[in-house]
Amino acid sequence: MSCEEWLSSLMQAAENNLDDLDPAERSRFEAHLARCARCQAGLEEQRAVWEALTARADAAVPPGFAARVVSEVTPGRWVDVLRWKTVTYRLVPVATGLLLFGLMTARNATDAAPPVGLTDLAEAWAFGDEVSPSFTVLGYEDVSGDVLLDVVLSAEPDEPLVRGDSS
Amino acid sequence: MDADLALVEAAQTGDADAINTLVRRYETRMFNFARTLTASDGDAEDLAQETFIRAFRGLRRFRGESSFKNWLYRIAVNVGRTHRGKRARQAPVWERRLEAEEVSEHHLASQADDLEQSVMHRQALDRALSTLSEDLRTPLILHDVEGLEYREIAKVLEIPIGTIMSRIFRARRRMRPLLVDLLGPRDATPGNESGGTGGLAEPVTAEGSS
Repeated sequence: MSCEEWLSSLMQAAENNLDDLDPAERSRFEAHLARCARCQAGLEEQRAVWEALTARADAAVPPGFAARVVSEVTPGRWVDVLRWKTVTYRLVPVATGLLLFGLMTARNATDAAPPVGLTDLAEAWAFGDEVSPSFTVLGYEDVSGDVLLDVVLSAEPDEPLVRGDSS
Repeated sequence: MDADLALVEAAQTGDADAINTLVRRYETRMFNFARTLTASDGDAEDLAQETFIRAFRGLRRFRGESSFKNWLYRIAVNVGRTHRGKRARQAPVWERRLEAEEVSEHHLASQADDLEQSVMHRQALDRALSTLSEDLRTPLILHDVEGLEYREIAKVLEIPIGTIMSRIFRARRRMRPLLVDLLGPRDATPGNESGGTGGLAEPVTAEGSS
């Protein structure tokens, strides 16, 4: 075998791993090595660099490195953002439903268009608009025509109509 | 089975403790791998941090087909390539080598304690590593510095194992003359007389083999 064909064995020898070799192959390699100056030089070369690099002392990690990395990737940052988006996306159907409900309710309310306050009701009555004889408006129950008349008559000029004493 | 799998699965759900544990478990490896790739503490920190950020942001894609450790190394290699491209556009190579040399000479001059010696040793090695091409340097670092097996490196770099061995062999050959100050002169054995390319011929048949 040529020297190049012993490359793998030579590298294993350089890394003190000859025990991993098949015993017969190891014997052949060692026989070759014993008579081959080139492989001996190659072995020294490979072993010297391997030993130097495996003995390389670790450089100290800068203080706070892990904390900085964790702050970049933990829920306080991007994960929360992702979750916020996820929650938002999941709420889209609910929000849409509420919006549609609100629109439909508003439309119905507009269609009915009842007076929404006692003053409005009194003004409507005073100007001859047709009003129902009995209403339930903002907590006033059974607002009769007499009550509305009382409101109109007790109002000062240029002031809003207010409910007077109906008793 | 990957010893990190349980932590990785927890980290995939956003578990901050799991992420923290994984970062602390691999921060020294990643920082030093980056340090050997960049020969600069500042660049190494940026590169290592970017590696972790990419890893955790892409953790949902991790399927456990390789170990988490090797997956990190693969990301680090890719980040290193991107980083090298940026650096190459920013400053000429000779400026970066000079910077590393100045630091190394500073430590050589100090002749201080064991800590200084180990720093000097590391600086000399990193300086020699920085002279290698990426093709030779990365597998050499992964094997001799980081301790990955040949088969692991083949998976990380997606290169046949024979090619990995060949590149490591050649990388060591090129490193040896650069480490005379650190290791002493080579033996005056046949084939070494020229002091340059003695010993075994560089294997070429291993390239591309599996």
